[in-house]
Amino acid sequence: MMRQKMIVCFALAAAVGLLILPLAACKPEPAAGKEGGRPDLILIEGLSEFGPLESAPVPFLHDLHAELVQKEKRDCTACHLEKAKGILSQKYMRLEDTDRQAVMDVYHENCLACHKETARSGKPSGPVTCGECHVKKPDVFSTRQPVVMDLSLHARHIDAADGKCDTCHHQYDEAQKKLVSVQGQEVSCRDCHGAVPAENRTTFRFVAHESCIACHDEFGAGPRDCGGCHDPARQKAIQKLETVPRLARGQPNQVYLTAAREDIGKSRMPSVPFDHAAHEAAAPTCRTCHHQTLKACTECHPLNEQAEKSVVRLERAMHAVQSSHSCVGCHETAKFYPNCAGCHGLMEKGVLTAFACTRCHSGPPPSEAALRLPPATSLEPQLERSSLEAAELVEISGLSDKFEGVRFAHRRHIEKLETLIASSRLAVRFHGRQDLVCQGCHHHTPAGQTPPRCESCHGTPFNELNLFMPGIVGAYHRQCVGCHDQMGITTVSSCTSCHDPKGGEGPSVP
Amino acid sequence: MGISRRRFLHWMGATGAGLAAVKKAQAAEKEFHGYPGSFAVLHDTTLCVGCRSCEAACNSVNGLPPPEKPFSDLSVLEQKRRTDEKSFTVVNRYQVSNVPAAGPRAEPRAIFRKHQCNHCLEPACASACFVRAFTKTPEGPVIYDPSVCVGCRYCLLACPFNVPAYEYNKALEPRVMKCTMCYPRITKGLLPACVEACPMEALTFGKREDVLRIARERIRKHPDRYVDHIYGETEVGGTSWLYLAGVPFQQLDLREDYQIRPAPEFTSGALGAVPMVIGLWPVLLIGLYAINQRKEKIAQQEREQAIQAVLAQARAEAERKAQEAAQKAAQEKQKAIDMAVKKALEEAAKAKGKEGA
Repeated sequence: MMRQKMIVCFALAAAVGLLILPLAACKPEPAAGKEGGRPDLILIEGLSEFGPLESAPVPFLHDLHAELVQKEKRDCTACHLEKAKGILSQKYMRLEDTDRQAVMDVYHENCLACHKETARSGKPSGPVTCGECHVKKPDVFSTRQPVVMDLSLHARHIDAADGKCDTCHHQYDEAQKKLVSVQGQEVSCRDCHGAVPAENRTTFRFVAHESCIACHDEFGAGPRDCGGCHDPARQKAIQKLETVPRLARGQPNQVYLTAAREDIGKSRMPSVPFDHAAHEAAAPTCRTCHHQTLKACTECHPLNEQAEKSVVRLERAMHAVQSSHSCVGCHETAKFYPNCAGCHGLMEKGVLTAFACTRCHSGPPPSEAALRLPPATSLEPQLERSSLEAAELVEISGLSDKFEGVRFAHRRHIEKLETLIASSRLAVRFHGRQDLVCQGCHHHTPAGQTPPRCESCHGTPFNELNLFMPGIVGAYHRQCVGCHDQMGITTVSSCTSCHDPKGGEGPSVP
Repeated sequence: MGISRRRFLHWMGATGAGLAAVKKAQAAEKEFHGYPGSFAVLHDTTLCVGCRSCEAACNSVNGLPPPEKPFSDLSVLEQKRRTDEKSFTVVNRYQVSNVPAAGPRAEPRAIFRKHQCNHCLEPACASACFVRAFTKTPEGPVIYDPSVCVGCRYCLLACPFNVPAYEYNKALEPRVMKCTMCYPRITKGLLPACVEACPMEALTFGKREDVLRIARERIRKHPDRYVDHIYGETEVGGTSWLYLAGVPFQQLDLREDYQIRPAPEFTSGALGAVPMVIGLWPVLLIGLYAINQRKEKIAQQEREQAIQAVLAQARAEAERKAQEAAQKAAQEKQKAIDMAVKKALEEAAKAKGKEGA
């Protein structure tokens, strides 16, 4: 009898151990379709400034609550107290954080009171127990994206403000110790208001919400909810102006870029003729280049390192490939637009050839450059025709036993590339010379000469003496398929798009 | 059974001592970076277009049976496949949502990866095989000898990439089937069939050092296109089939939790101990047993001797006593006889005296 009981016990234990426990330990796969993203998610963890948190931060959906409050025919004052005339505090039900207990009480008392009351009146309400609010692993996650005030949106705001810049722009006058508006000296809000509070300046996030929303509220135009500005889907829906009128702020049209006035004597490179007006159209905001403040680059970037080693020199500011603010960095990004990526996507990234220097440094010497402006038309990029005659059709054959040869429409490809180049001022500026276009495919060839045949350099693959060079078949496929891939061309999608199979079905590309 | 506690502890102690002695005999912590000059293949998944030419070439060169669906049929890519006894290699398609912008494209494209034996530098299959059917050749490939295979299929279990397959359908002489890196071809100076067939040169063949150099150069030239890691450089101690990818390898079914520790190292300790254990323990334990038995026998003998001695003593004592008693009896008898004689004589004398008077 005892023995039988023992056997049953062991069998049960084995069953639990081998079957149920591993299943229980398995975590369920997260949902493939990432639901639960909200742009209005605020994690309430204000108590963290008083010390480490005891409970998990509370995920709070602001738009959800704002909608419900609106349905009750109430406004923001339902939760936000007025701190000054017409300005609401951004904190919940308080003007300032006094101490830990007080802040905690504000949340607990007010949130729960409202939830309980709503529940009592029979409407669906929010959580009331500790664990329902202080969720350790919430299902909801933030999809909030920062809003970019690009030139189009800014132009619409200028319109709405009737051209009065001082509606939004101000600066701090040290002498008068107050905010003033000076015509012609407006800068981006972010030039002064950063991500962290400083001295007498609040954060950009704070002022954006305070000023922008207050104005939107007053005029009844523009988004007032979180999602209206921060939801990526709704950001895409923001109306873009067809032609953005040029922002008049006393900036030059064309200018010679060179070192700062005090460094002119030390500077040797020819100046760079720079079409500021054309670049304004290419950049989404002024801050793309004027990333810190709306002044000339040389005001902050010295020619040489001064006493502080951490200062970014002028050379780095202009030529750093990884930077999104530098000239070269932005041009490098442009190389990967679909129209350009066919050739540039296959080239080594971030390489500055000596040839490239003269493309930009083609102006007068620094001492002269400081004295005059370039004539307006001189900066228009020019197309130069090539002296070479491009073959119309090129026959590539004899490489495969599975496929016939390729009858490559050589001239059509060149013409297509030239059309694309002509449509981009940047492209024409750098390779308006038709000869240079050949180098897109006929790489490692001097420009202006009939290029050698591909087979001259590419032979059988995996040659120890030539490790990094693909064989001829690989070279053709990587160049052609690679270009089509980079440019997003889907019409050429299978082997048979280029060469017919020799008798019978050959493999095809999906 | 009746074994005493002391004896049991005795045996346990001896076993432990034997084990401790065995642990010393481990292979020293060595790292194997592959035979110098051995070959390797680099698979660049950013170049693979999923045409399955490699599968067709492998099938043809190895004399494998033709598949159900022809190699030109790309609908098979809708399912993830694994290598089996008729396919040494398969190409799988992965729909990955965060393909990096090597050129901005309308939508992320599918990524293809060719899967086959990775020809590890320290293969787990070779380590698990107790009849040495697998060999890591100095040229690089891990090859299989069906003539010694016993069909236990430990290699299928041991492989960290789940590559080998077994010919379950064959009743006589089933084999373990896996990619051979075309060992017969590469020893003749030819390329593996898949490498030769690939139109995009997504497969690069060469010495492992050179292939690694090529991979590093590609990453250096196009840092936006590749994840900065060559899969197989150090995973499971290094493999002879290396991968480059533009997305985390995890998303291409290449496990990223494999560290640099080679697979055999996990079991080499225990497996290395087996011969030692088999050699030492029986001798040790039998020795102990023999000693104990001998001790017992001697004790038994001594006990018996003691008994014998006591018995002998007792017997001797009894005999002596009997003798004494007999002597005493004889003496008494003599005495009695003497007395009787004396008495008779006295009586006779008395009777005579009476007559004479």
